[in-house]
Amino acid sequence: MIKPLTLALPSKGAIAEPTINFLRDCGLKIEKPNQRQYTGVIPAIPSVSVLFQRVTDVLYKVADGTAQVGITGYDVVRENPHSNLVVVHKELGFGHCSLVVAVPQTWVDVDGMADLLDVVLDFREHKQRNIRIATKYPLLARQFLHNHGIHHFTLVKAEGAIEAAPTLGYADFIIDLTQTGTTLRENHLKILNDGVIIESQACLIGNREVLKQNPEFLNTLRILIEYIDAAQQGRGFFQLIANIQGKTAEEVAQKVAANPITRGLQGPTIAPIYADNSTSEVGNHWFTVTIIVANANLLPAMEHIRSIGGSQTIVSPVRYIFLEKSPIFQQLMEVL
Amino acid sequence: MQLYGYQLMDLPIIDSADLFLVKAGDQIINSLFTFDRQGKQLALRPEFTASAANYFAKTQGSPVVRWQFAGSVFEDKSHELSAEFEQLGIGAELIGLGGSLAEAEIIAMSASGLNKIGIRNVRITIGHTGLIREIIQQFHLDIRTQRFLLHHVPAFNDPDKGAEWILKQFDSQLSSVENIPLNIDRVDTYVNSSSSDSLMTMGGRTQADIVRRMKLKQQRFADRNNVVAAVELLGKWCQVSGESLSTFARLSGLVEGNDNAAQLLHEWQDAVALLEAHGTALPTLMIKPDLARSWEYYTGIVFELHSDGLHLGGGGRYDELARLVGSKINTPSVGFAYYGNRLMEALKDVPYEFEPIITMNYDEKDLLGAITWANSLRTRGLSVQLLPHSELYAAGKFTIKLENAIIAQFQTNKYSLDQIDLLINDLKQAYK
Repeated sequence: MIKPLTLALPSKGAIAEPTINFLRDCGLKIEKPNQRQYTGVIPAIPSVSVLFQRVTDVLYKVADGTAQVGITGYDVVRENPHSNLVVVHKELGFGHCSLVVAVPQTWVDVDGMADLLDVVLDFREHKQRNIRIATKYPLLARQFLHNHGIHHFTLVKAEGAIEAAPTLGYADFIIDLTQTGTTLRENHLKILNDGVIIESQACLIGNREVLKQNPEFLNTLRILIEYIDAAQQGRGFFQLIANIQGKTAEEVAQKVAANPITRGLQGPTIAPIYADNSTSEVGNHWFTVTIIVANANLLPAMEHIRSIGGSQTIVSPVRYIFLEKSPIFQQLMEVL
Repeated sequence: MQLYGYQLMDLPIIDSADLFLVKAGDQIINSLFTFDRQGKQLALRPEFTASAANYFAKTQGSPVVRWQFAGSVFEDKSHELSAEFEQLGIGAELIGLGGSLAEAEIIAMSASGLNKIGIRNVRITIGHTGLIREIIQQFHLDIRTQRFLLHHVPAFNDPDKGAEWILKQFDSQLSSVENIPLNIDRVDTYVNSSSSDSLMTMGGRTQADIVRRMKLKQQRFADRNNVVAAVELLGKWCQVSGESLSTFARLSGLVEGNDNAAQLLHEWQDAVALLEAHGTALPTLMIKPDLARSWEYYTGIVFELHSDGLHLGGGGRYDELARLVGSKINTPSVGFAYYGNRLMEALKDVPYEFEPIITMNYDEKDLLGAITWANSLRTRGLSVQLLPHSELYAAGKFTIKLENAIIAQFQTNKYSLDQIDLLINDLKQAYK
């Protein structure tokens, strides 16, 4: 029997539900036998078992090998570096947020980190104390501040609503995650111009040593990645099927491919329609054209198809695009 | 270092993080190994100097101390996933003695130490941070601008940067008056109109704090000509380097009219002259006015030791540190440190003379005799380990086999106990 690969997923927090939805959209629906239990299965890949953990614990469980792979925030990975961890897929495309330096809006003299350095020195000179920063990210905060020449500060460890720290008076400014900046603005804070520490989103991580030493795990992970990779590749495209008249398949293909947008990934697929020729012009036949177009090009593509006589066009989202090899898995093999 | 009267000291490996942060340079701060215990931020020592200054400030001992250190120092490179947290640090501090004597002694001792352990082609570069501070101070700039210029000294000789680049950095980082009214009188009105009263103290800053800083920014903008003049002079200062005689002559032309700077330059020359008296060959010396060691730390002469492209150590004068860690007054202090890992690299091809540990093999019946033999050799200064004769232990180059309680065999020769001096002589011949 194949050893099941344990995939740790966030049980709560901002990326918990989006993770379930993301996997479902990749064709990897999770079934939980009991809503109160912290385990689940993915029927599409029976050799995967799912373990639900808090978003930070996902990282710890993968690092200690309890789970072999997991989905967590890239911010969590950067804040808790571990030599056993490898980032398998850095950009799963959801859970976007930024770790930022945000100061009170009343600091009208502070726009960037250079200003902040002035203020930090001012605190030591005139208030005889270190400036206080509330954050859940002490490692990244320290590195970023040191890189900007800010060395004398006190980090205030905080959980929960950090945005309120300056108003409540237990910190002078904050370093925290933000998605849209709305919560920061509502708490009278502003992000510094050069105060973005990292851009984060959900990522897939793995335990380097365990994966290296267990080909079975690696093979199950390859299948998991194939689903994710192919779904992500497909997500950017529509499949477009249209009926077009022409003398020959070649002539139709030339008309379609005349516009780079409708040329498709390799070129258009043209197939004859065996129909009653009473609906076509004299000397012409009906053909079906199948092409793949990028989402952003859908309307220009439609216009071109219409301009060359296309009609009855069906557009459907592409579920998967499997390339010759999964690029993400190839990258992982190189890193391992 | 023993020969110069430096006493070996042991200081805490773990101390308050503030002690190491108080005046440390960027490099140390960025990799300080910190952790929290009972609400206190502690750190593993990244070097010895701050601990030494702290110990000096807290103990009322001799007014002048010469201390040497050897032990582990730590860097936290966890963000680089590096496993090298611990390194060997070796150094010395001379605290309580001012003037050129102290500086020359520390420089000469550190260089001769390298020579003594077999490192060749030792080169000493000497700069003077105190003199650069003095040059900048004559332009009456605010503290932040002074710090900015100090930190940008290395950029003068960087082919990708230079004076113009430094001024651009100054304009963008320090004197940008975007969103700030240029008329100083209007600042208060502007701050009032930009913020609501209820939030004025948010983030620990009052309206007065913000107004003060905006005025400072405006002042910087207004003082830009002074910054340009300072950058111009520093550019000339940093262009000069080379052997001592001609370099000092050129530098002296740049400090005309600044008595304090001229005095510091004079003291610098004195220290270099004393180095010669210490036996340091002048061709090994290079005067490098832009030598940039941690500006936060050093207040006077600074130096670095190099050999064949390897930066092996360095140090300098740091008179303010003792006061900052608790002493009531500034205390003249000079020190240096070798970088242990680089010393090892430099030493890897150096022939190494050592006294080996001698192994004495014996049969169980001869144990008492073996102890007598071993102790006789130890009283004559040799290191001896006893191992029962066994096929498990291969005989090494320095193995003595005890034939019986009286006769020992080394190589092909046999010795009785009264021939022990002959045996020692043969052993020494073997390891030479």
